[in-house]
Amino acid sequence: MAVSLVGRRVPDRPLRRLPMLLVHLFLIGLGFLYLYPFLWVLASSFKSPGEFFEAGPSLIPAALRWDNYRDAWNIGHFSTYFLNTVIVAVSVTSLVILISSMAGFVLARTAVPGRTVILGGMVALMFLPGGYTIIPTFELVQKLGLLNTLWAVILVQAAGALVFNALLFLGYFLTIGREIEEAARVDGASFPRIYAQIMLPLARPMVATVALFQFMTNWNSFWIPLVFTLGNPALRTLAVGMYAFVGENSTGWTAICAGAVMSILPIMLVFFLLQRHFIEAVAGAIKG
Amino acid sequence: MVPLAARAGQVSLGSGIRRASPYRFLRRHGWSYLFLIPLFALVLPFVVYPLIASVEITLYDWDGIGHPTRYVGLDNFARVIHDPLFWNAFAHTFEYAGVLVPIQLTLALALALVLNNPRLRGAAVYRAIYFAPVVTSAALVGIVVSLLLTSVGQSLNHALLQLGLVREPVDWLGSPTLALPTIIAVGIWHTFGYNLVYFLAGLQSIPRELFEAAAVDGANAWQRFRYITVPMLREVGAVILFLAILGSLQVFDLVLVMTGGGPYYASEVVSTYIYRFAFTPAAVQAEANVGYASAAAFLMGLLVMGLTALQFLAAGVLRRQRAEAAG
Amino acid sequence: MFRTTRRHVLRAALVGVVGTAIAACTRAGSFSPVPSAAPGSASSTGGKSAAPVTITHWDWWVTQGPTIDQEIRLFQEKYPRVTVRKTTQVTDQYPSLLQLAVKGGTAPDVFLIPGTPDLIEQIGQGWLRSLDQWATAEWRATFPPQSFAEGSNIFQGKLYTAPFDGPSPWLQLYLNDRLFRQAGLVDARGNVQAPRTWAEVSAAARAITRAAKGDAFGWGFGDKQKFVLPWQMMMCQTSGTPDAQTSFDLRTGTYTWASNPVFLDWITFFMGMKRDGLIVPDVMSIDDETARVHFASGRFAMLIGGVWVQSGWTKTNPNFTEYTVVGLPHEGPVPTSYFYRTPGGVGFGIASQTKLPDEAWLWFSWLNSKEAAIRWVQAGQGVRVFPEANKLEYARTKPYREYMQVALEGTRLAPAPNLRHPTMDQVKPQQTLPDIQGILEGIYTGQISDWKGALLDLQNRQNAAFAAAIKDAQSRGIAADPAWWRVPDWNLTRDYVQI
Repeated sequence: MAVSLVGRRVPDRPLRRLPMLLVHLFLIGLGFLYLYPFLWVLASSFKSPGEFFEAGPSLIPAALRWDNYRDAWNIGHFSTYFLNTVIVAVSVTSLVILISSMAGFVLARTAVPGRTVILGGMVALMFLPGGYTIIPTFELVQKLGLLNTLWAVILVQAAGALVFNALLFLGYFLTIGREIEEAARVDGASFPRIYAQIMLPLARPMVATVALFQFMTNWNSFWIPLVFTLGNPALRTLAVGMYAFVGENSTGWTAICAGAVMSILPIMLVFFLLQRHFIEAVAGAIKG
Repeated sequence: MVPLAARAGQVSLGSGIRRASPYRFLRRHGWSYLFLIPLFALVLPFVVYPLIASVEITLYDWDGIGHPTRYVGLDNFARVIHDPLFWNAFAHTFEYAGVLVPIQLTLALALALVLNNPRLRGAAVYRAIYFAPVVTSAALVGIVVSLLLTSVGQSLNHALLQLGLVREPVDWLGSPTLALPTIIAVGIWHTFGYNLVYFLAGLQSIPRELFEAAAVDGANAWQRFRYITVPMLREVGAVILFLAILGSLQVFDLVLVMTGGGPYYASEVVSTYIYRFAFTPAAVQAEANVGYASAAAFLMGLLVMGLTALQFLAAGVLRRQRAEAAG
Repeated sequence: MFRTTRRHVLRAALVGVVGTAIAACTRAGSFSPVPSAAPGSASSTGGKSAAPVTITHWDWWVTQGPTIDQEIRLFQEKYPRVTVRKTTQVTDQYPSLLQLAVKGGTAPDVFLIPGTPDLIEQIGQGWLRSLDQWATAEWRATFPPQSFAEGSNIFQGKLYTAPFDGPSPWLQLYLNDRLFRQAGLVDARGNVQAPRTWAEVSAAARAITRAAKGDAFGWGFGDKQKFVLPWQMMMCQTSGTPDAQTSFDLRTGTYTWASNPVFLDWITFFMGMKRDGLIVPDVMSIDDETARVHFASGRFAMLIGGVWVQSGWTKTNPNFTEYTVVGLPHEGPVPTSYFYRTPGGVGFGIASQTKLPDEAWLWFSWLNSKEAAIRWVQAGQGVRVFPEANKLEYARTKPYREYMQVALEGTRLAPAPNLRHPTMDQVKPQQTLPDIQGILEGIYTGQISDWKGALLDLQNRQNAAFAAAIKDAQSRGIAADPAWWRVPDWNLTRDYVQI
């Protein structure tokens, strides 16, 4: 039996690894289950239409059919729509992060007069439905002269996500301790400085989270991009393009799967690369 | 510490010379309002205005084309309140949220704790996996889940038949008793990732030193959780809980694609009930009534708000009673 | 840290600049890689200009898409000056999208007219342009008689569209030949013995299920989307009701779910099949598309579907060719009612906003020409309004020929009182739940045990809603006489002669 430096008996190395091993197995298993639908979509993008319905949960296609990718690229106007989707998703995400963190910061940290009313209003907005017709928004956008532009898509989608994310930032900022901020204020830092150089970096985990989910939601959003680019199909996004495969009685599922894979892979790459950066910076932020 | 450029003479004096009110007001709150303006600038025209317009629509019968012309006043609300199928959907909606949220949030928090553990090697990889965008478009998620469920259901039925636990194959989504639980199970999976990641973000805001200090003091894992994690997570946890409840009350795509609210409204939730009236699905030969749908949606919003307010009031009364009893 | 936060702000600003630039470019139309109908490139008042133009075309046809694309190719070969840019929109939202396009001033030049809202409302909203200036009497004469009727495609003397599809029973019965053969249900020449009555369906299903020994069933469908059970009940359409989808009977002017015994008879027959284990067990969990694939793989032997299933199988089960198409079986030995058509018909239309009306008419008349119709039928997309196009020899497969036979024999002319009394279309009964979809579901899963009671309740509710709608219309000053909905002298087995 090995003896540690402080004289206590510790179990042998292999045995001590066991609980950790179990945890790892569990996490890998869970991760696989979690990823399974996506893996299935990946596999299905190579299947034939019949196989799609028949092969069941199988993750192995009978053959590697690239037809689906070709169809998704051509019929789905992938190259054009990809650029549009990137522009919209990045713009909306940036706007949402900026604006909702600003609002969350103010509502969490300052006793702004009317704070209760504003908070109450935001919470009430979460309860109340936005309406089942796009016409009022459409007419407003038309009056603003933004119809059939990407701006309409960006602004309307950003607006829809602001209250939700502002509340998230609010909750997060409430959790952060006041000491650093007080110290900075005593040092004479101005309001925007405190926000930009202290609160936002401290909120990096939440920023990363909001960025991720907002980006993904936008990447796949379909209705708003469709409605506000009706007159200019060159401005469409990927999700709209995929609907070219949804018919009245049958749908080109395998092509949609191929389209989904093609549109998700670049993002996954970007996030995998950025993700390490976020995590390192998080460790740094907390320590400091 | 954060390097900051020093600014000359910004210290406020508390009591001092009284300046003219508006100037001081701006000085103290100007930045706050400035920071709130972008939110208002977008939310007011694109969220609040359509909401007000939709409230107006509840007073009309309207098929969605042109502009509303058939004024019916509060008739739509009366019809909704008297429709037993609305209350049926209402009950199912709360059943869905009531089962899903506790289970899902507990699981998400547990997994977040595991992933947040600094001793976990390769945590970055796991985080990448669970961060991985498994979110694909709503149409795709629906059909993927449906098809998988059908095949998995078939395999499961095979097993159950072999084991003699059932006499005939179970029609998972077609059974009035099993349809909603099946949807709940899928729902737990579907939005699990979101809450996991939100909790992770919240956990990462807790300074590591607190845990280390507690460990040195001899606190075990459960005590660390109870006395550090829970209090530190309270605010962000409350927001996550609130958003999770609201989100699950608004479940729509999942139910629509998996069962369409059936069979015979056994899995109908308020959003699918509304959908029947807001749009004319090509197969149903009925006319859309956006006014009625908006009324139902608005009523649901008011009911949930009312219930939440009641809960807060009740909690407040309880807290006051406990304080009085203690004090 | 300082760098990173700056990055956020910089990123947002950069995006803002780029976004503005792109938005500005796109509004001017110079960004789009697809040629757009740029203003000033075509004259809109008479006289064809020589510059190349693009017209936009909207429909919701995905399976028929390749055939339309082929037509576009041929059209552009003949008229190289005109480019047709087609957009296939999502079916469910098509009317909303069309409305928004009109509002935004970017309505498509030629579009497939949706079923809702009513055509007269679409005209009232300014969606459509009258075709009178090109649709001469000569052109109209190329269509079969009764193709154009006031109240259907002519309003206040102006023509707005032309019928596209030919009259046909839009649902047929499909039989899996292999399973029928396995059960011995073939005649001396090896042809499948198609069941013609409900009793024969039961018997065939029984034989097939027994012969397959658990590997296959007699009957199947996929009702996940809720509209497929009513399709099964469309077997009543040939058994004594003029409208098996709504039960509205123009002979009495009322809904007849309970008063017409055929519906309860059908439910009894169908539930009998379920009770005897002749129907696939998981019908409520699978959708129609999946069910069709299962049929092609031999999981069950009889399926109700429309002509679209055939082109679907060329994609999902290309080797599946051994199936037979027949008309829907009827309760008694002969059909006592048919699928019905009325004078007129609706197809494509031209937008009133179009800046290229002449070119739009070129494309419209191409689509509605006999030659295009022949190609349509040959491509297996269904029958068209021109009898000359519906020749059996144009069918490329045996099942499609069988479908055409069913189509050409299965319809009769129905009375169309709304042609004489256009205000009838403004009487709109409110939806009441549970509707027939829900009730059929409830009956099928056993949640409803009193079948007759449920049907009677639905009938009463719908009749009440109808009466309320008439009163409501009258109160709004619209003339609506309940007698208009009563045509008691209609013989369901013969073409009705409109006076």
